[in-house]
Amino acid sequence: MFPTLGPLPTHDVFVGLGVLAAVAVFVAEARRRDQTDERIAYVVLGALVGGAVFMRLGTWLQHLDLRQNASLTEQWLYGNRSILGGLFGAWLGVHAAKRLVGYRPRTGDLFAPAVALGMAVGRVGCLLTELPGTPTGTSWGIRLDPAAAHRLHAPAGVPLHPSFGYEIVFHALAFCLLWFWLRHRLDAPGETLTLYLAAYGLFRFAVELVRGNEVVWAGLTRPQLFLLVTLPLLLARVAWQARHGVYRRRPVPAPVEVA
Amino acid sequence: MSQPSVPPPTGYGPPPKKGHSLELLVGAVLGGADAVVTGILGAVVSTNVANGVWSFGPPLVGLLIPVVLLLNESTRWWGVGILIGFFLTLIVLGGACVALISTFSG
Repeated sequence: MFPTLGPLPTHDVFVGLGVLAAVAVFVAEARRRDQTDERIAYVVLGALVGGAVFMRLGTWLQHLDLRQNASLTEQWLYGNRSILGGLFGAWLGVHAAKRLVGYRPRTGDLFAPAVALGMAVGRVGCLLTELPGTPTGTSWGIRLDPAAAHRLHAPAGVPLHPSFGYEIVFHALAFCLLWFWLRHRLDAPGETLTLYLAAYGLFRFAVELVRGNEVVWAGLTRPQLFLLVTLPLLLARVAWQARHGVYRRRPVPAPVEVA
Repeated sequence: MSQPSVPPPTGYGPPPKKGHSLELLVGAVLGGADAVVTGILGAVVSTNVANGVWSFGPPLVGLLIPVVLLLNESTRWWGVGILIGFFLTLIVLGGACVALISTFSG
């Protein structure tokens, strides 16, 4: 484990690098798609406000007995930061901002590759600082030294699933698929984000089995419970869109012969 | 016979559309600094005052400035830029406030 890189906190360094990578991809894709309307800045602001607020408060009401939950101040200052909460908040923020400024075009295609690359880089910070996962018999497990094991409340010397490594591979592959293939293949606007989020939801539900998060109900962790509610909605949308031919390529018109 | 079309005199067209990239970019940098400075002040306040709610005071004041800038059309893009930088920094330095408060608490 590497909690710091020199004087800098490792986690924040990689989140910062992830954000920079995401901004670069977002700007490049916006230019390629000629979506350079200045109101895009408001849309980005909406995503950031929603993401920043929900990543901190997304895990707030954890207990049905409200007295057991942290106060709003405690949650904001010391609570968990949740990727799923942040993504959900960003999605809400984008929709609110678009409605406020009257921007109608879909923006999901700008966010999808940016978020995928940003997550692939940002998760390196998690891999280097957080509890890797549950014990594994595989040869690629991460073994913690006694100091790291004590800090993370995990067993020392036992191979643990590198669950953040699995996520990095997923997001890197997703980015490559989106960047080199899907964005040129899909004609329907905004759908690359829907497909990416649906795939991430399925993957995340599975990776939670080896993440080592607290099991709270029916053998499921909190992210799994969140996904149990939201993922069927997303998958239903994908199925509906597929049924209506949204993902089919439009036929390219045959060249007209000139006599 | 029709007259040959005369090109319009230069300099009389509509003024070129002014972009706002500079305001957004510089504003974002200022917003990042705003979030860091007011975050540190908030951490200092939280260690000196019993009620933790007061630690939100400095960041809220820091947030009020760009919100006011949003209200005027001539400063609106500065406000948007500062807000983008502020919230981006909140995301990047998500765990830093805890470390700051621990530091100031000794």
